[in-house]
Amino acid sequence: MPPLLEAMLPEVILAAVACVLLLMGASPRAAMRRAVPWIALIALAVVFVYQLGRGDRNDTLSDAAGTFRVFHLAEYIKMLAAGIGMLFVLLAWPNDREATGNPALNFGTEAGEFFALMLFSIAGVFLVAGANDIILLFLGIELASIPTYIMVSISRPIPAAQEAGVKYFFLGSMAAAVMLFGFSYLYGTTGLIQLHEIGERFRAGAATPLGATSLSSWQTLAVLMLIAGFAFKIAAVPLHFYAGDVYQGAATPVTAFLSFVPKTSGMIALIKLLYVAGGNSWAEPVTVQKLIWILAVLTMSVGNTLGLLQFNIKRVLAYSSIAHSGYMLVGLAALTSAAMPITQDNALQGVLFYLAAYGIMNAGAFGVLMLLPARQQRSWSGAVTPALPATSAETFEDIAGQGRRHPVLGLAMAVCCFSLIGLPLTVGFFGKLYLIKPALDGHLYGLVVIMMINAAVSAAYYLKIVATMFLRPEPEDGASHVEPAIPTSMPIRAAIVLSVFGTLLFGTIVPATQLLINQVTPAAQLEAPTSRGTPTATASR
Amino acid sequence: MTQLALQHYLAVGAILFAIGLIGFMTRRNLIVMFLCTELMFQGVAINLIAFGRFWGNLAGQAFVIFVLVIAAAEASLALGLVVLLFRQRNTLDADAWRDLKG
Repeated sequence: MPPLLEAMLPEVILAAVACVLLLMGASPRAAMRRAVPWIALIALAVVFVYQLGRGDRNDTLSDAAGTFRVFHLAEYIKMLAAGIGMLFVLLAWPNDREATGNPALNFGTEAGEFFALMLFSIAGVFLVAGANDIILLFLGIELASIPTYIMVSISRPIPAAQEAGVKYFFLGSMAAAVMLFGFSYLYGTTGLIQLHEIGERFRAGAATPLGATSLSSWQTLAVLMLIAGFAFKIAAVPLHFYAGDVYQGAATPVTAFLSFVPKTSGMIALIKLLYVAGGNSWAEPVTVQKLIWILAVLTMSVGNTLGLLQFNIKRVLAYSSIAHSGYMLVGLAALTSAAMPITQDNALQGVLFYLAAYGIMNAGAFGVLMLLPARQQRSWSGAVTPALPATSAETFEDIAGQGRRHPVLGLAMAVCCFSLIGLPLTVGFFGKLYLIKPALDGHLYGLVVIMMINAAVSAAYYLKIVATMFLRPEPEDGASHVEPAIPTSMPIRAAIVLSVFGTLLFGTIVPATQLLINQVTPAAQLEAPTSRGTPTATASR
Repeated sequence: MTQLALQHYLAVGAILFAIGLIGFMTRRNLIVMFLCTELMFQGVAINLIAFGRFWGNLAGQAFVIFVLVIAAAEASLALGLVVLLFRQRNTLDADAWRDLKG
């Protein structure tokens, strides 16, 4: 197999299958639409198994020009995104006979397009993970983002979804322009477009006594604008403002998708950028170190504080998603300010582990919401909701008392919420542990204290969700008596079971956690050790 | 008068970008807001071409082609979304869409 094809095989599979799905979506037959999610699921499963089998490969796959480089980090991200992507396909599974949607989501007859867009977006994350070139990195981020704009807009036939889609699109394209401006100056100040070459150039210019790279002011401007663009993707404060509206307006499965896929692409791009800005190491300029520290504090604190004030559970989960980005930024802060290589490795492992943990535990929480019906016919700004509700539980009234009526769902939600808090015996606990430990090793005591306070604050709203489900009485407005029975959607249940199972498995059984760590450990190396340990050999080009 | 140098092109690019950014923040018409993001993209394109010329390699021009492709993809998406919204409310004012709040 040619090296480029071998390196890009997962992307090629997903993109090819997505094109087939687009064609199938044009078919008028319902049988075609019913086959669509199966094909999407199988494609992701194939990629997942393929990546699992590649876990212990130790070579760098690259094309001749070095535009695309696949090493452990990319292998791990591909495995993770394909695996979590299967959960999202299950969550979005259409369960009516015409295959036009599920109770929380309605894509009309566009099932083919919807799942194709999902696969394109995941392929975009793969590209970001493998990109070694600023052009490809930009294209990967846009490939991960643009399909999500469409998915938000077509997810529900109500104005709120379209409003969310438009907001997301306009702000997203503005963020893309800011990011591009940064890319243009990154290219302009070096004349290079390959990430590792730019890193070498930055290292060659580094001569500060502390060992950190010192960028020129234009280069610093480029790095700051790129961080701003990526911060939008991971919904870091102050670029978080879209998250609440978009997550609320989009259908619940799309919200779950948004909280993982674009965020992963932004996080990986940010990691790559920091590696470049440090001159192919993590020795960042002081400005960048401080910026990441401030971003982490703001993102955690604002996300959790606003999460306390919300009435809509999807908004609560949106702000919780912002807060979780903040926790990952704590890992990045430890990565950029720790001096010891071992601490830096641990910090990056912590971030990558947290991505996996967040993906696993978050899908279950959204899945439970999808299986609970909405109680009232809310009118969005007076407009009458169309006949297709395409709405599942959204507010605290919707889930009040549902935990007693459906104890299993209530327990599943409780497990996911406990994991999101970070209580022991769940994967979220280990996620937080692996983020805090390197931060302590890097002497970021203030940051750790702020993170612990934030985790405590976040417990308030997660416990409010659980308490509402079990303790609050069901509303007596009569609407609850005519509420539809819970649709018995097997795929959504399967996704919840997988999510809860993963949360508990990786949280309670130490060998399983160890298994996940073993996947993460090599992924913390961005390059093959040969080129990493010998700076002079590669810097001489 | 001296010849046009790199910084002149960069100044034009930065000004276009700034006009786009300010316009995006201040204007409320969806199509004008979209045009402002296009202005930002074009400012970046001028930067890239100027840098490509300055360094004497083709990477900048190659990047511009991809930027234009992305801009075209976003344009098609934006116009589709704008038509969809216009059909619902008969206005393109961004302030008419304030259902989502928190």
